[in-house]
Amino acid sequence: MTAVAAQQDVERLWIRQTLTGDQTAFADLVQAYQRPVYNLCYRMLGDVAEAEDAAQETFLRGYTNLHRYDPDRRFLNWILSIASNHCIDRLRRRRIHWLSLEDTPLVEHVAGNGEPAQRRVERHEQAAEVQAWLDQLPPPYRVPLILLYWHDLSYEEIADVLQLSVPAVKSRLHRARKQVAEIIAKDAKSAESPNPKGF
Amino acid sequence: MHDCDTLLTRFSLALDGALPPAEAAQVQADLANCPECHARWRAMQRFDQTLRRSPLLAPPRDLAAAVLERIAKQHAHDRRLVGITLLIGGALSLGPSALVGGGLCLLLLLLIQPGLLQGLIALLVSALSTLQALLVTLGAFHQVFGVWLLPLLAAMLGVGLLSLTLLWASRTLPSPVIMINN
Repeated sequence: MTAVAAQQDVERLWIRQTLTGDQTAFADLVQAYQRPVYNLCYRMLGDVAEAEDAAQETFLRGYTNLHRYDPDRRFLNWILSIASNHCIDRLRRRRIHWLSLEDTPLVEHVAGNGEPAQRRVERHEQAAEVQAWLDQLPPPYRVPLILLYWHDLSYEEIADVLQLSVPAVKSRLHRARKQVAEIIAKDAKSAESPNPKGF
Repeated sequence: MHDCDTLLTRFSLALDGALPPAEAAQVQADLANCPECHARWRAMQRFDQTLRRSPLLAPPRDLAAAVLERIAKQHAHDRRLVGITLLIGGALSLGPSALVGGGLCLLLLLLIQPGLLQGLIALLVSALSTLQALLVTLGAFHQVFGVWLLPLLAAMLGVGLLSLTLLWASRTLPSPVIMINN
């Protein structure tokens, strides 16, 4: 039995136990998937407190609708689908979004492992830059990028999460990248980066 | 000669490693001939590399506990909602039940004791007669006092209430104590 199949068996057991009223089993599910869900929420919303609340809300919705979950579908895809829909709703409701460096949780989550201060500052700036790029994209373009880069999902899996066709996923990824590339090219034409792919 | 838009769509696939080698070679050749496309490709590459270097963020330590707490609150809220619904439903069904029950009891009483009906009718007639007498009296007063009837009645009511208040106060308040200093 592969590791993925074993993980799916454990998941199914947790789901069955949760449906019979065992909340400890649901706590295990939350523990297993809190990292990807929180990460998606933070990358979508760009705010630590809001991301935490959105992650909690995602799991609460997952718990309430667990009886509708299709066991043939990967649980990660299902819960990420709930998270992305919830974040898109939040962004629609939000009128103005301000991103401040203080909001970036990089110092909290990445620093503190003894790396030099200069490196920490660079990482902090990089995180702020990434978030600023993402914030400029429309939410429907933002989600596939997050799922691709931070969750290593394939085109097919992203299509499953977003309930889209694979060509639609490719199209959204392309448009998102094109849009960010235009912003980068416009902002810093002089910034040169290495060319590892040899083009 | 290449089409810049078509080339741009291939960049995305190239970044994901989803472009066949022959097409990748063609993209490379086209890039050499178009500085604008080359600049865009570099920008896309920078974006791609920066995102790939960005770490997966760790969630707050107490996220699972917070979720369970919210679930517990949700359950409590649901239970309250069910309780309130049952209470309102019960109250709503109790009103008509009381009316029907009371009516049936009255009907039963009337059947057992027919004299009660006559008594009830006499009571009703008496109440109507009293009301009629009151209206006739008021009509007579109106003929005498005209528009001053209402202020007169209000004044009489006021005097009556004041007298009652004074009477109550004289009985309940303690008597003044007169201190005599020798």
